[in-house]
Amino acid sequence: MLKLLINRCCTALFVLFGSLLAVFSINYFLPTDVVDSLSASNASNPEIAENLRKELGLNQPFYTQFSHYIIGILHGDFGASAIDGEPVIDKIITQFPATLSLTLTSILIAMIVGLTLGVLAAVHQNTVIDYVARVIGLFGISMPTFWSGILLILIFSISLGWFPAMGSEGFSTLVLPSITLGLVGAGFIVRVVRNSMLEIISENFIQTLRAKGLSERMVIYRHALRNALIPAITIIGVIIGDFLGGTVVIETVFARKGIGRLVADAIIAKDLPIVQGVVFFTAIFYVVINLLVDISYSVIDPRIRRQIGR
Amino acid sequence: MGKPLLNVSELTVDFKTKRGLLTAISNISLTIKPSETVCIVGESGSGKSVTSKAIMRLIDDENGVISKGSIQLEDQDLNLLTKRDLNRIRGKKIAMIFQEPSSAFDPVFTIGDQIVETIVKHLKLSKKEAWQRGIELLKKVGLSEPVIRMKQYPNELSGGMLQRAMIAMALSCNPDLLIADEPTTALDVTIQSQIIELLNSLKKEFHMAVLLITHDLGVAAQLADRIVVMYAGTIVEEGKVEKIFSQPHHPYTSGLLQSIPKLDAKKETKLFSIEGTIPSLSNIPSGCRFHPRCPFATEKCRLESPPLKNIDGQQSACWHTSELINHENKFHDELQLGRTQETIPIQQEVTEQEPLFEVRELSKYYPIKHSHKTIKAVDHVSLKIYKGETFGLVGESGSGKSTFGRTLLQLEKPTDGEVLFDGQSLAAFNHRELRQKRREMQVIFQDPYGSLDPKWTIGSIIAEPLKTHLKKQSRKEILAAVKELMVKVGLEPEWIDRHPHEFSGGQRQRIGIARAMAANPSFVLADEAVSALDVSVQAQIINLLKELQQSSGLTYLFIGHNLNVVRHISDRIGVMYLGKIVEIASSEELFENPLHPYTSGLIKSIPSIETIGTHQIDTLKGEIPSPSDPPSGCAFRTRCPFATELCHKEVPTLKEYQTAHFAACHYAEKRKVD
Ligand SMILES: Nc1ncnc2c1ncn2[C@@H]1O[C@H](COP(=O)(O)OP(=O)(O)O)[C@@H](O)[C@H]1O
Ligand code: SF4
Ligand code: SF4
Ligand SMILES: [Mg+2]
Repeated sequence: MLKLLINRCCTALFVLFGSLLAVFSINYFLPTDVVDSLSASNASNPEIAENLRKELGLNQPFYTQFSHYIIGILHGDFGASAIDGEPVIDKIITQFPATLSLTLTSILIAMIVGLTLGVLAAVHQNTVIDYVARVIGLFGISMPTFWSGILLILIFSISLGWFPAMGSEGFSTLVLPSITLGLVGAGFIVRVVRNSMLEIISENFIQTLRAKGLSERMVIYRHALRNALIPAITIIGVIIGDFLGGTVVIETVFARKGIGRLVADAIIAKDLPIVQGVVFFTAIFYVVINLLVDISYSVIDPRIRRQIGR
Repeated sequence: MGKPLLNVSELTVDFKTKRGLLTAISNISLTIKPSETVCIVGESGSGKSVTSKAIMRLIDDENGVISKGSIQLEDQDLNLLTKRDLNRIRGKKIAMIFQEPSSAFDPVFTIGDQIVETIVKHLKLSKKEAWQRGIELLKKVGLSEPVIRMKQYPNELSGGMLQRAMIAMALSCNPDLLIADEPTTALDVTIQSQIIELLNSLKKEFHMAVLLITHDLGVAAQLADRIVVMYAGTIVEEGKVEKIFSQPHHPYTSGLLQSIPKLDAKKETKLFSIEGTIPSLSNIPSGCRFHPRCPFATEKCRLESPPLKNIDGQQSACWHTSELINHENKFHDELQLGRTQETIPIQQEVTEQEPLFEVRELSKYYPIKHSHKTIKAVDHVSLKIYKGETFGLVGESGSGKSTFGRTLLQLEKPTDGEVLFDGQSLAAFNHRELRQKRREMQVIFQDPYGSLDPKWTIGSIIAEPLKTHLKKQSRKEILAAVKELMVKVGLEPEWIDRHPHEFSGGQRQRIGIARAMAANPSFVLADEAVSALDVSVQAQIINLLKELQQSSGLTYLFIGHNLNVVRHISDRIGVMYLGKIVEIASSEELFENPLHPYTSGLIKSIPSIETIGTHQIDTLKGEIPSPSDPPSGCAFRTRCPFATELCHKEVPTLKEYQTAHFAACHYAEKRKVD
């Protein structure tokens, strides 16, 4: 177990460093910078802009800027917004909870819907249930979130008035956005679970279980599902990555607070410190989730557990 | 003799397939009395498994339906039960074990969890009591350290151990009937013999009836009271085991029995084989389903289907049974005279003894991940294979036979040692020269399907070596050569454009042989080449291999685990254990006078149809140890009944005890019979 943790932490450092480097380079080599966006609004002259650049360290060579930044992070200093000077860390801390609750509820919805439909589809292969489940899955995967989000708003908010269409206060504002995002994940999970369930059901040991006199419920939910969960969990790690990207759209469509909105605005404003800070935090979040995925893996599959134990 | 426990009557099962409804078994009627062992035999595809699964109603969960018949267990018709009621019977009154122990347990639960689950379901015991009972059951089926085994996961146990655990689980609720579908087929002879012994003692102790399903008549002979012979989804013969084996009434049964290589059969006699193959379900012959393969078929047989008729308590479905037995065993003689008299002229004694292969101290070690140890798959093996002979190699799985074959042909680089082919060291050749040489050495594998590309036609499969090795150019020349080869191995030349999946196992093995022969080799390595085939087809392939050897002067290395088969085809046999050769002798000598205790153990493990019901109980104990951690001294000492202090300390070397009879045992001298 310790070995796994060390292994994961090394990978995590690598991922963090890599993503920071990538964001940094893109920003550095782009022809415009934050000063341009500031001066566009301030209509100031080029001299002031030049001074501003010097002040922000933007005219230093790439490696100097980058190493300053990294050293800053090591000291817990993520810099300040280039636009309003507020510390990056404060901005993230105020925005993060909204995104976290959105991601987690979406995952929860994706798992509940995906597992249920996937299992039902496999157990009732080639029946109406199967077809319906697969169509829902297909919708989830192929519908763009801004589209399905707007659709949900039209139906459940504007027509029926059940849930608010926007905002981030309270649980009710969470419902529509997390359904929108959750459906995407559910689509992937339905596919994977259906396929792995079908494979497991045709394995020899299922016959043994039936021959022992276990009820079909036990056979499917105690034995087959537990085996089928292994590939399902793998893709949850992938889906979470997707969701983090998805929040950018969702938070905009539903006018919610959150990291996604924050970073979208920052990108438009070329507010590099904010973008970097958000990237750093989402990367950490992503790594932690994947570590959890690995751990739950070994809880479910004893073969992996013993391997890790060694 | 009391009421039957199980009474199956006119059972018919259909499968819904893409090509429509196929009837897998029709009108199967059989009874099993309490404590009786009934054995269903027949070639694969004859419907044995479908019958057993139908009795358990496991067919419901596949694409099958029981379209007719009843399955009476005491006074209940299983076919009419609801799922719930059925689940009270399954595992409690009827338990079942399957062929592949390695895939029969759920991999994510411990053995203990799975046994306990069964006990808790049927007996009103607490989890703790059930766990205790599980430990006792594991002890009963002969598993060492049952407390630990309970907590282990299936992938941590060997096939033999898993099958024992499976039996323990099946017995956990004291069933009245145990259905065992090919319970020993996936196991080594030694382990098979242990499992037969176990079943034999348990069925007495538990007073249970057994329905055993096997394609191996030897196994049937060891366990059965009564035999049911199935062919193409119907029962063709049924009767007491002694009667069936001594005086079969149906030509199919008789054919099956004669296809088995006998211990006393002369080498040069061709093995008896039933011509052709079992028909597919979509193409069932009219009249008697066996008529296309039956040497006695008449017009009536082609038109009308024969019913089961009782003669002297033995039932047989054949129009001509009574004539055939009344003619004072004419039936038997005719089969014998008409077909098995044929011999394959044995080659002149290989007198000059010129070696084709000379193997010197050959070793192949595999590294183990995250460890300094190695697996010694082949460990300092020296032997010679003479020109024109068949050298047989036997031993349990894991003893290193296949690795030896691959390293011999340099398909894998040896760790150490040398192989001389025709006097030249193979290691000295460069890549191109080795390829040239390899043309002369061909391989036939166990699973012909896995080694034939499914997208190619068999014409192009066979033509490939012609093109690459013999540089034949013109299409006409190649076509002619391919057709000639097909005829030679017994395939119809018209089939040239068909694909491998259109052929049966035996035919695919013929394609594999034709491909090997296309390169015009001087040496063929046959690795378990007939192991996956039914006896009747196995006999056809062995005959073919022998004929090819005679006509083309081939040398064979024949690797197998069926000792009777290896004995029949080989001139000399080497016995391998944990990477080492422990005995080499001519095949007669080896069987008559084995010097190594491992060899005698292997020979005793063979289930023979000549010893009905007298199962050898002094067979090999235990299982082959892991080659990564072989015992000190003599590697066999952990299983050897004669092991002493000396065996513990010193490795015995391979020495010649009699002319051309080598053994590696400190006490071989004592066992010598002059
Ligand atoms: N689920 C199925 N669908 C279609 N055909 C099947 C199915 N199961 C078995 N069969 C066919 O039924 C026949 C009998 O099979 P089986 O009982 O397995 O034979 P055996 O056990 O004697 O080897 C075979 O031709 C096989 O292909
Ligand atoms: S009925 Fe005819 S074809 Fe069938 S087994 Fe008897 S003799 Fe042969
Ligand atoms: S050397 Fe000893 S342990 Fe090995 S086979 Fe001979 S008697 Fe048995
Ligand atoms: Mg079968």
